[in-house]
Amino acid sequence: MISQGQIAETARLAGVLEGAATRPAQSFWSESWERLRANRAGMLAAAVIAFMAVVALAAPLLSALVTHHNFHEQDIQNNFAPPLFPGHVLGTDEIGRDTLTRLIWGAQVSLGVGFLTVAISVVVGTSVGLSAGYFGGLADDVLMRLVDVILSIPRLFLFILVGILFFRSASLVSLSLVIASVGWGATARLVRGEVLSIRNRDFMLATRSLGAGHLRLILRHLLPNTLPVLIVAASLGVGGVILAEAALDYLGFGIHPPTPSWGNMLSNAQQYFTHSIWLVFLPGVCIFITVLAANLFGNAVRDAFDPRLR
Amino acid sequence: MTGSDGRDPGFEQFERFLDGWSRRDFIRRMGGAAAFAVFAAGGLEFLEACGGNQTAQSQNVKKGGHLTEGSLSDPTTFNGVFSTDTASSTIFGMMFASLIDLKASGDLIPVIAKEVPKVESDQLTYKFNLRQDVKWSDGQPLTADDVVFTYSLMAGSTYDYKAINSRYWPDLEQYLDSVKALDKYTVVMKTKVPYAPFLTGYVIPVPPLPKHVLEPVVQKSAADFRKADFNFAPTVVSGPFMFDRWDKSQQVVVKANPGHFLGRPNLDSYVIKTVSDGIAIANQLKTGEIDFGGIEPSLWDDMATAGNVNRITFGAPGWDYYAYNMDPANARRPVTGKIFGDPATGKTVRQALYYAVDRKSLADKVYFKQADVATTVEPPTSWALSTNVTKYPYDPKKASDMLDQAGWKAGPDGIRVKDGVRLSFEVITNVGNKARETTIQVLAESWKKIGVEAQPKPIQFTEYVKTSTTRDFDMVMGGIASGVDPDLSQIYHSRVIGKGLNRMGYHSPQLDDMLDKAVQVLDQSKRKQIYAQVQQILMDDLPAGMLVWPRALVAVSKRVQNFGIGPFNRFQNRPWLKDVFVTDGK
Amino acid sequence: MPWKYLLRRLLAAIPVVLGVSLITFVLMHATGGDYVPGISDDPRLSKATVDALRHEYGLDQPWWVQYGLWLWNIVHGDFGRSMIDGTKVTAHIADRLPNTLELTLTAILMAILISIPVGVVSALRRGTKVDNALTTMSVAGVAVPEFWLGLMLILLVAVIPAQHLGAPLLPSSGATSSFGGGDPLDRLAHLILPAIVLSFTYLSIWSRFTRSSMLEVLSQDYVRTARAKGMGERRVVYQHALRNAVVPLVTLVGLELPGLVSGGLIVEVVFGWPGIGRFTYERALAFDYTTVMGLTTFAAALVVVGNLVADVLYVILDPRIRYT
Repeated sequence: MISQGQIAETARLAGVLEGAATRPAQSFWSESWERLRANRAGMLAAAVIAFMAVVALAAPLLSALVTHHNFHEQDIQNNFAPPLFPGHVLGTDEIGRDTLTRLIWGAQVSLGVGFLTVAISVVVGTSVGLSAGYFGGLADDVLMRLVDVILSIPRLFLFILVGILFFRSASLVSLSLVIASVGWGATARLVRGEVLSIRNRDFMLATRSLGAGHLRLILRHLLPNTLPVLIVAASLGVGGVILAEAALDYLGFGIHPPTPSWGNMLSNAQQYFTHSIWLVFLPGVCIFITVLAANLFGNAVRDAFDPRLR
Repeated sequence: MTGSDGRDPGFEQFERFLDGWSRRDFIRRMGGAAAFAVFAAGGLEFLEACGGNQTAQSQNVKKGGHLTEGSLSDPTTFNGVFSTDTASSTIFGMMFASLIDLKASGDLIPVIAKEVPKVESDQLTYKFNLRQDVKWSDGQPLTADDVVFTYSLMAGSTYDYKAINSRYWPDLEQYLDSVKALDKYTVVMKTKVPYAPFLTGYVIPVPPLPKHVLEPVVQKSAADFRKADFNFAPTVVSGPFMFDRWDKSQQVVVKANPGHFLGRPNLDSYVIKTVSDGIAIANQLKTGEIDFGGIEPSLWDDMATAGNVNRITFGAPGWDYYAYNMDPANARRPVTGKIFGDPATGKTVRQALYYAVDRKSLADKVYFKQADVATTVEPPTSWALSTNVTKYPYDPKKASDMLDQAGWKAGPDGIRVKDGVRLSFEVITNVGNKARETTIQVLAESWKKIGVEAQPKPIQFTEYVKTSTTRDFDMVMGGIASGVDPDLSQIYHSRVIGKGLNRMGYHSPQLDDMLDKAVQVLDQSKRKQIYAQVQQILMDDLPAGMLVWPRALVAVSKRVQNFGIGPFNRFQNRPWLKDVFVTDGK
Repeated sequence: MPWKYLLRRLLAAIPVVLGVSLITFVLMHATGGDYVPGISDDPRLSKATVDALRHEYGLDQPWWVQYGLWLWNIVHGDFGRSMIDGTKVTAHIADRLPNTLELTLTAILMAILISIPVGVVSALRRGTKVDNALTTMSVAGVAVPEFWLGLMLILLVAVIPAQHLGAPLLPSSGATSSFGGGDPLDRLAHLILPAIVLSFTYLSIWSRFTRSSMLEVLSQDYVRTARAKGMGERRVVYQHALRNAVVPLVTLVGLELPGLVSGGLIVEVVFGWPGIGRFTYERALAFDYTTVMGLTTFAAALVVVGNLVADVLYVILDPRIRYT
């Protein structure tokens, strides 16, 4: 597989040799962007994610203006109302809370945990990976040992161990921290790998010999070249985090009711499967579509950066 | 995801088989039209269900085969002296016979004893004449020495009973005077004061242990006795079944004891299988992987569609409730302690919150009509139940007014405030019990409507149990399973604050007095009068709000016959077990 | 055999195990509070008894001494005792590890056996409906929550057939029938559903990987040469291309070796499988910190060993790789 580094090198050389263009002046990034745009499945997936994100962000508004319910409001006399019930488009749950509203707020939690976790993993992992890869030597050894340690602890075991610490106060943020505590390691390794393959290239040596300091080299030259890998990893990561959050809800270590998350709605509804199947179906579909979209988008981004294996 | 019968192992942990002074027909003795209706409905269904099975008398009894019971929790020990949960007590109840036992109705029957002893004229002494044909499974006779030995583990001067640390020693220290063997087959037990719950609380649940096997073990180390191998793999038993194997986290298997003094059981084996949750129990009943299990209320209606099981329901001795932290001196939670325990306004607040809960809705919707509204602190099966208590019909307006009067006015965010303190607190319950997790949310929402902020917080069962000693809580919501005796000391007496179930910190000298008197009177009608007053006080002071009386919901495979499960025959006490058989003999 | 490389890897593994033990130890002590293995928070114990027990377990020592003791025990194969009932963690591991391995190894085997043909077919029929269908299924497969898939399968394969046909098609829980089982056929029947669910996630990823690996190999020069020489297509594919396409899959499989012990946790819980994952979960629920700590350290140690084994395999299989 041709690494992105080689393509990036072409682009960077073009940049460094300022105008001495040896090929049509279209940078790596705009080429990739065009390939991405042409990928219909990928763009559709992106639209889905964007839609979910908007819904998640606008939850309070939608709750007040569209559905006229909030997520903890109970109408116990009308519990288990089926979809298309007057006043509850998607029905109600076991104590009469509006399903549509809870799905909307659930998006906030599920996507919130997804994006926040990935953000934390990326920030921490990239910093560690860049430092380790660039500085090498002792720093590299120590940091990578640390990453090895984190990655050696089985994911779910670590979640559970940390989960029982946070149990009483599980929140969106604490949950993201828990899941990110494993995720950053993989990102760090990935970034370090990229840095190792880039740092000895000619353009790097050239820039260094021009007197550029460490920070400038890292931020202006290394980092942008690791971005493609990061973006792909991030997109693919969001789906995985949403699934992990759902699994934690099933185990009881995730978000607790009345705060809705798609995962806890799905787990909780299992016992009502035989008479109120939509309570199971709807959050399940939301999870499925979002994770699917995230994965498709991640694949599309990867294909856009490196189209050889379409 | 723990819980032994779809509800919660917690109540089993505090299960107390309290004395039921020998009753004939306890349906007749039930006071109160409401309680009678409740129980009769349950009783009828129970009798009907059993009636369906009871044609077994004329049917051919098949020998052999096995029965698999689904349990939500793993057992912890098979020694009656230590066990506090029903998974464990169910199993050791099969392996070890007691001197006396309970019928489904709560009446006492003799087992190892030849007859149920009546207390002597001094009101302190109980004389047990033992059968002479009872043998341990290794051939040794079971004698009075075994009984004396068993009690010496929990009281007396033979062993360091505090180091052994049985579950009963604090109470026995207070009430038990002596246990002596008059001769090889006669035991005399004497209490320090007349103590009504003695037989049901301290004799029935404590089956004799084999002295010839365990004496050397406890002599070696009293403190290590609870870890002895025998407690996890009993080698010698007296009951209808003997230990076969324990596949940890999977199942316990017991097999028929051919030398059982009442006759070899029909079944060859009995398996208690650990199942992860209520949904799995229901599924496995349908697939036939288990033959018996407790059903969650939300799955009850669906179980009717399963063609291979019979559903059985009956009024259970127990209740679901919520309790206040009402101790202003509670160092861990002083704020709510002052809110709920304030000498001037605490009671008003406690009562107001209770008025704001629509318990009928709760019973209908959250418990799927498989529960009845609780009206008093005694369970529906209790002969001491009284209806002459303060009534609390659902009245949020009244609740609101009461809070206003108590000085709690609505603050800027809608939550009531008084002297700078917001009426806001956490409600905890144990994860795994779906009905309860849903209930705390209903409570929170009901109280929100009257300006009280309650945050529902489900916590793990062991944490939940710890709150009874640490008292680190604002409000708990839970369930209690009680036994035959109406004694409520374990819950409301001030001496068990931080030790028993009085996590509320409730202290009423008047009530303490009554509770003490009520157990030291042996005449049932006199006791009933005292308990009527006890209920009046408790339903007025309201240290805990009684919510509903959940019915016992179980399902049994159609191939099982003579399974005489009933209100007091659910866990340890199953005198009918040896007569159970399976129609296909497998 | 590149002994130097392996030695270096072995030496690198030691600080990792140390690090893991330190982290779990710190986390456990972060829970604050005193714990006494065997008896927890029992109010009836006198202070003297509690103090004696604390001394016996070395809890009155400073934390670094406790850590040293903990580490010393680990090196000697003692992973601690439960703080609820005092049972040894190693005993629990011995009881359950075989069950977990049985499940995860079967799942991996299943996944390999299915993803290779699927990947190859996809690659050979690249761009066709078959390829699209298989790829879509793969992508969709990763988007389903594992626990939900398990619960649905139980319903479809066990509960519903039981209601309509009188018996489940396959059992829904446990490793053996609770009574009368234990024979290989019984174990196999119980193994099928959980193994299928567990293999699902691997399947989806590996089949796509095999596809792209196969595509890459098929475009190589030596394949073109073979075709030009007139070799039959079948021989080209099955004798030459396939072998080379599969080798990278080994790396992926190797990546999963470390997760052998813990990967099945959710599946074990859903299907009541008596393995280490489910046991850890149950103990966590009981807040049995010491057991969870011991199990986590053990699992991590296995991961490190697994990585070493994977490295060895990798080096053996692909002599081009050398640690630079």
